[in-house]
Amino acid sequence: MSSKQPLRLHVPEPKARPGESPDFSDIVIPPVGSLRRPPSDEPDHSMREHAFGMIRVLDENGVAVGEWDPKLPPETLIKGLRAMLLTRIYDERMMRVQRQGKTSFYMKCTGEEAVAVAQALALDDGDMLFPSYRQQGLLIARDWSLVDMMCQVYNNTKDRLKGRQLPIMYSVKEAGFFSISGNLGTQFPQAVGWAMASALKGDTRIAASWVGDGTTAEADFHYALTFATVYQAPVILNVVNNQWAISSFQGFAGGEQTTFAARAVGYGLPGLRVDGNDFLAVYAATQWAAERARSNNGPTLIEFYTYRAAPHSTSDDPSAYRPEEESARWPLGDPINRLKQHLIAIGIWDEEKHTALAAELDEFVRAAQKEAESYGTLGVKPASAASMFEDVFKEVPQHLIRQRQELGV
Amino acid sequence: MDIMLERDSNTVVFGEDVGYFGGVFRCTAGLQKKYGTHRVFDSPIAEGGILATAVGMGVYGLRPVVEIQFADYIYPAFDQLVSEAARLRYRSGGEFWAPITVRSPCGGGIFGGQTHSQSPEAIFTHVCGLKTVIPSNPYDAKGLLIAAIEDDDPVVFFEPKRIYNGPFEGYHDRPLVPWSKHDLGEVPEGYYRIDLGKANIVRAGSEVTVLAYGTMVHVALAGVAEAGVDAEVIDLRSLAPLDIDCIVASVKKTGRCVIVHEATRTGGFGAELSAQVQENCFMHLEAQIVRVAGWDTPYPHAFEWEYFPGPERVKRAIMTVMENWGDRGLDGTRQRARPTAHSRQPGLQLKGSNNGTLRIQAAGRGRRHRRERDRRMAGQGRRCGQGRPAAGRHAHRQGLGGDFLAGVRQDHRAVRQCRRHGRRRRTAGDPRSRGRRYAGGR
Ligand SMILES: Cc1ncc(C[n+]2csc(CCOP(=O)(O)OP(=O)(O)O)c2C)c(N)n1
Ligand SMILES: [Mg+2]
Repeated sequence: MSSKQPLRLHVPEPKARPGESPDFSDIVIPPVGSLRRPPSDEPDHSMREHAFGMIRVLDENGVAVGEWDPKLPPETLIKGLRAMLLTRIYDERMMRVQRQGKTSFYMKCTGEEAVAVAQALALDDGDMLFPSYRQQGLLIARDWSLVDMMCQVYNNTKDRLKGRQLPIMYSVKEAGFFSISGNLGTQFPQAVGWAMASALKGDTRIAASWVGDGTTAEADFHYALTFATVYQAPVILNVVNNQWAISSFQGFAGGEQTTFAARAVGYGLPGLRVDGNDFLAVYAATQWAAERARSNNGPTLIEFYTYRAAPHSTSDDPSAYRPEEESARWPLGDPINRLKQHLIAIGIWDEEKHTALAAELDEFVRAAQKEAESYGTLGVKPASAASMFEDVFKEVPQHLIRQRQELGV
Repeated sequence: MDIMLERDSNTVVFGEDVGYFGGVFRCTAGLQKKYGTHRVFDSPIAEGGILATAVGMGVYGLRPVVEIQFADYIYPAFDQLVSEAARLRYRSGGEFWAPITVRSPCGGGIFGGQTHSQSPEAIFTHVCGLKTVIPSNPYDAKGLLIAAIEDDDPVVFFEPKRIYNGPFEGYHDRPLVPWSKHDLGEVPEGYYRIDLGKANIVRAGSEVTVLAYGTMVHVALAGVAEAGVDAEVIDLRSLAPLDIDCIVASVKKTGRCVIVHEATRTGGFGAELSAQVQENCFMHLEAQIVRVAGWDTPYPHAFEWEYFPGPERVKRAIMTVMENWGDRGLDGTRQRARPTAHSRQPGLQLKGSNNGTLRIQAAGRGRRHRRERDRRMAGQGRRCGQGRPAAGRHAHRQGLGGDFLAGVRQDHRAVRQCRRHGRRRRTAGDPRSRGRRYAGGR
């Protein structure tokens, strides 16, 4: 008689679906300050707890706690708040212009602003960024022109990408911001390659790259970790775990059985799991990984634990697959509110200042929008379609010249 | 998919967002609810993983129907498709195979930019061991998809996303007629299949054959209407296997062929079609074969409608093959002036006109040139069939191509004219006499 039992396939299920009440009961949130801050040359095997715990600095009262507090000067804190707020207002406005038909598509990063903004501020200006489509905060924190970003969104005459790219697929070489690809994850190993080149040349600049939780399933993610660890490349590899990949919760990327930071363990590099809605924790973890890379101690994988409060994109309706109230009930709160609370707690901020800042930024975005729209919006395109035959190759080849003539432009 | 999930317990459906949500284009909506999470489920975002696990499931004996969210994202799965799924049967001597259906939305026209608009079908038709299917309407989509799922070989099933909701004729500024209000939108309940490799003549005609598939079938029909010619429009439905007999019969009848696809021109499936039509119908062609295709650039977001090969370009191509003998470049510039009226007449009757005389001389030069070449090749022990394209290219480079080909066609026209008049006289240009001459070669 066989004692073998029939096999069963496990298909992950999120805790709650539409109509059910949000359930975050399986999320363990360690107390702030519970993890030590090791020296940046600590061997990865002696800091395993960082891949499974969570680096958190800001407590529920807005007080910075523990070894990971980066102890930032007020200017940096206010700069961070400002950039996060600006990112949110910019997103709102661009979402609205999409609804008005002035462009075809948009993606917000609402709820995840701390990740890109704090990281941009923790890195040096010369460091090279290989983002996904949800790190617009990097450009904003690097003070890149909002008008320029909008012109890309509008595909207008001042769009430096010549109307070729989907809105938000920015490319800003001048700001060290690599051209965004629509194909998920491709930038991750490319960042490693850039970092390898920097090391080969004895440069001092490091690279950083971002993917979402869902994207960690792509082979490119694993290429990146392999190459990064083999060559000890000076790179920071970030996973923005916002719980969702369109309609698929992070369990479909393997998040049910372990953490994304723990992916690092198997590859032999340090993995940090960080409260992604905690500006100070994001800053501190990035600073640590940057120090490590700069001092030739190799790459770091960081998982930022956060929540995609917005729909995936303007083409998405999350109420079809997750409870509507889920984002409001997210246990790690809102990154802007949390930093604001901290600034108030340390006595450099108040509600009045905050309201004034929001109004100022709103005006700033409106003015930028006005200027950008003066150069056209999608479909209202005084630019010549002839440019679409350029840049396929460095020189426009004969057959494309002929095709351009055939089009009559 | 519903029918196959119902009929065959080995059918499983999976891919990114296809489970609970029902797919970003809602193609699998309701299926998970009906069949459960063990038959219809979400997958990690890993196209290579999706294909690889589908191969494994297929080897076990399941019939996986997987979705790649956009054709633009099929490339990470390329190795598993090309090196594994497509070759498994061959390399295992028939021991293993993978009866996978890979569904994937393709094509542009939805402002998807360069990573949501591609039409990569030709890349897959080039792979032996893969079948490639592209439906143009709901009725066909159902019958073809069932046939694809039932097929024991891997099938790449591209779904033109622009026509998910209704036929798109290429007029982006006109309202869309939904399928619900369209004849072809009527889909019978229950099981039926359309065998792969059977084209569909969607419009019968006598003057020119237009080959198209997917969205472009509708665009081609619109282009034909604009051109006002009696065109035969063939919806290929399946590119591999290809219904070459249907195509050949049509082109032999009309003597002209225009190929329409949205994918980039160079190395697109039109190139293969053009080659096959030429190989099979050379003696019946009265004009050059013209391709209407996407430009050889990525799909530019803002210039979608300049990129999309719409009805106007189809019309122009039709007019080109109707009016000319290949002396007009596609950009509309005449390479050599010649009155259209004369070119419409059989070459042998053109003696009276100056242009005609020139033409005959040119044709004569072409024939002589050809005969000499054939002799030369025979001397070298080479087959004519092999030598021909190279010689043609050579002639073209020297600016002789037009004359050379026109000559062949004029001979041929004369023959056809004679035949039509019941005089079964063989001329030097008669394909049958030539056929005999070439008998050793083909
Ligand atoms: C190779 C590839 N496969 C699929 C897609 C379609 N797609 C776009 S975004 C997305 C979800 C990504 O989720 P995640 O990595 O978690 O990032 P998030 O959107 O949450 O920031 C998918 C499946 C794609 N763009 N590229
Ligand atoms: Mg995500």
